[in-house]
Amino acid sequence: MPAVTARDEEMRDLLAYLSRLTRDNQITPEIAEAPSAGAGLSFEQIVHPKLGNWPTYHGNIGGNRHSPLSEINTSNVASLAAKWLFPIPGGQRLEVTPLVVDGVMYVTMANEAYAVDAKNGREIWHYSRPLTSGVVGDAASKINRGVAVLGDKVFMLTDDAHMIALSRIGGQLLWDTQMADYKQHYGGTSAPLVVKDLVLAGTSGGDEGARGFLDAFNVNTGKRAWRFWMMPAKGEPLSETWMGRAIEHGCVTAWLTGSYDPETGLIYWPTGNPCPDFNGDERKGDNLYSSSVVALEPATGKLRWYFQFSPHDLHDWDATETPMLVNADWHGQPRKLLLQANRNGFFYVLDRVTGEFLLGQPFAKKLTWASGIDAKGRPILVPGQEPSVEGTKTCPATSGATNWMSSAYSSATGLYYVMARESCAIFTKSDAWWEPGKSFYGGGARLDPAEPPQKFLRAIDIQTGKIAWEIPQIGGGSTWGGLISTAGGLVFYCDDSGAFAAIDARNGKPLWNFHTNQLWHASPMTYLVDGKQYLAVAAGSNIIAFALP
Amino acid sequence: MHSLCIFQQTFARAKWRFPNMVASRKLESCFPLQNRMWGIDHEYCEAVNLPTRRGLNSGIGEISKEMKIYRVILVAFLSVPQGIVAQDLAAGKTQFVALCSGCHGSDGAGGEHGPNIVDPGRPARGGRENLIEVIKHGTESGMPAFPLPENQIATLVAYVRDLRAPAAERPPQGNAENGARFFAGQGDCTRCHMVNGSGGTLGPDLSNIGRERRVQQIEQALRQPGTSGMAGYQAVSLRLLDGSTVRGVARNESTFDLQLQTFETAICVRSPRARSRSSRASPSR
Repeated sequence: MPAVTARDEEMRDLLAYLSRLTRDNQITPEIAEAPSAGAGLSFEQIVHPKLGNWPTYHGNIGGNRHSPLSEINTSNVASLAAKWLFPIPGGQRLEVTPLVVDGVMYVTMANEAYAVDAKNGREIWHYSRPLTSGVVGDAASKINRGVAVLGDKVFMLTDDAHMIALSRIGGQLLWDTQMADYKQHYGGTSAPLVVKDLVLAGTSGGDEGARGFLDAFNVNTGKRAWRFWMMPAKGEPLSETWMGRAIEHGCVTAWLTGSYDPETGLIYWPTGNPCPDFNGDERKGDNLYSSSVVALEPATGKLRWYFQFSPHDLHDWDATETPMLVNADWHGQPRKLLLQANRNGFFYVLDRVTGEFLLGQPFAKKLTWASGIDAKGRPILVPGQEPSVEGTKTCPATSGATNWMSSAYSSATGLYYVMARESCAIFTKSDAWWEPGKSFYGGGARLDPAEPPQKFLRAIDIQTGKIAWEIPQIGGGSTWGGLISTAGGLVFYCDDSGAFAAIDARNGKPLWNFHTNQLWHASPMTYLVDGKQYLAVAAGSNIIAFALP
Repeated sequence: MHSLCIFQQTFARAKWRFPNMVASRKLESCFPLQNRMWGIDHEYCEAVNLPTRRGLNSGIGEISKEMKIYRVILVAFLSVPQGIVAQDLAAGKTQFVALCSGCHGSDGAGGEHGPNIVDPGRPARGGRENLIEVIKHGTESGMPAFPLPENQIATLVAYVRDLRAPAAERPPQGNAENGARFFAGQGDCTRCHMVNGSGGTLGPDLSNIGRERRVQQIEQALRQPGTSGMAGYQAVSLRLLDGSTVRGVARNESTFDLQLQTFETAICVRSPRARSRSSRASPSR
């Protein structure tokens, strides 16, 4: 920086001005011409990423964590080695998936973002703001799952449910828009998604009585373009699916990143459970659009169709697992599919143009609440599986047969890979009602100590829903790491033991592992820098990157 | 011997907007540790039009080539902050020098044995009650307890809190509105600095500077740039093996590589690697 040339008086006034500059007392300098958005990464380059870029939460805007990279493959993965490590102070259990654009990696924890050199993990810039005291629910646990990028901007959510835009160049704050009031139990944890000139996200607070929505903001101004409410307010259409008082604090938050399909031109966003989680007495009906996927038009946020996986859910089975968009032959005919292994234990295939239900097969063996899915896609309930005052054993447990960890589909194998969990819980219900500053479960769930949960990586044939093969894992059964598949014929996954492991995508044969000795809370990704393939994953408070020697 | 050089701005009077080149270009004075050849080890760039002001699209690059030389006129006008009794502060200072400065440094900015305790960037530990607790009982990390009488602790705490007060709590006199005009106008600060989402991206965001720095730190940054220790914002010029030069901001730097944000393309990180082993590539060795 050049030294400042100024007369005494000018220097005094400048220092007086700078000394008074705070976030809550800003005198914005008047710049004759507003800075333009500039060029940088276009939306086209997000929809069709340059080989080796990972420009969205899942790398692929359709939600499939399958990478076309193949330098690391079944023949050489055994020599894969750690290349660098980037610790994030204060990030004890990172949940972030890194994004990489042209050699720069973007990672986050709550209210902090870093740009690092993807080749060696050296920091380029760091943005931070203090954590918000008084935030409740998941947002109070320092959770942040990552950024979205477009042009010269990086977008992320803050713990108090603001969407912010930072400069990709230097990390400066460009705009800051409050989505909702954190005092109403809203928070921000997910990675936003850019669709054209909008940046989209929902909030956390889905067990705390916050009314869920999906917001779309103009990428340049931060002005809200539209909001789609995931559940009705009292008296609105659909409130007939919410008979009782719970509609006032019904949740249905959209707390994980959705997907977008340029072919159908639709946004697909998954929704959370209704509240109170374990007691449906005050919300009789299907509770739309809880535990569903909604297909929305990006320009307006208008609903095209919806599909509800778990009508009137009583077990906290959010449907926020990624709606994965895949083009494949469906029983011999090419079809635009939406795949999801749902927390309720069933693997679903939908037609994503119309929302038509095509298949629903169990991928968990411990599944007691439904005997199957009917022709319309509605679960066939087993009587007596509702939570009760004395406790009801139901499988899967609250955390579900899978959860928000990433999954992938490989067209080479025709298999859908998912981190599954076999578990059961004793579900109880109570009359406890919504209170400020507290969660709104209306009951509880506990694991049976005699029946500990177990993790499996399962490969599912999407035509039949049958499990082609599986990898039973040894561990506590409660880790949250996901997986990716690659054109190198590999699946990389976060093993319940804490190992980062590579297997043959055809048959699950173990080929490589690296012990992090951490409990997983994040999912992996892969990228190219300087023509060389890397893998990266957040383990504990570190980002670790791997490559061939 | 080619060198990695840091721009050293010397100070001379110049016009503010597009001045002619003035004074000598004695810009490149070199740090001995950085006397090495750099080869581009890897390079990945993305052409971006910098959001610049007044239509200067190639602005930063152009301007940097004419990086001007400015004069500082020293003035002393800092006054004793309002609401603080000078006498108490003097007593607190005597205590501080006797008890604290041995470890924390005479200005509290850290010494060999104790950390910086006047950094407003660490607000969590700065509360009055917290300070009293730490002085009375010491810390687990090794600071001994100082079981002083209450009134002495109060005086000492008042002094330390004054030492570490962010600028916004002790704002100096002056016309802040005029200062804002100077900032955006004659001072040309917005070329590199952002406030509230407006301005450049080469320098640190100043939107909250009043809480992040003390008055003395801000003043020092204005008068003696480069001495404020802002890592990640140093302007550098790299001489490459092919004889060319790239200039930009060193976002990060190690013995082995460097993350350069060039002036010409905004989002461009180059990590040159020192070719200390290669005699072929470096004729001067």
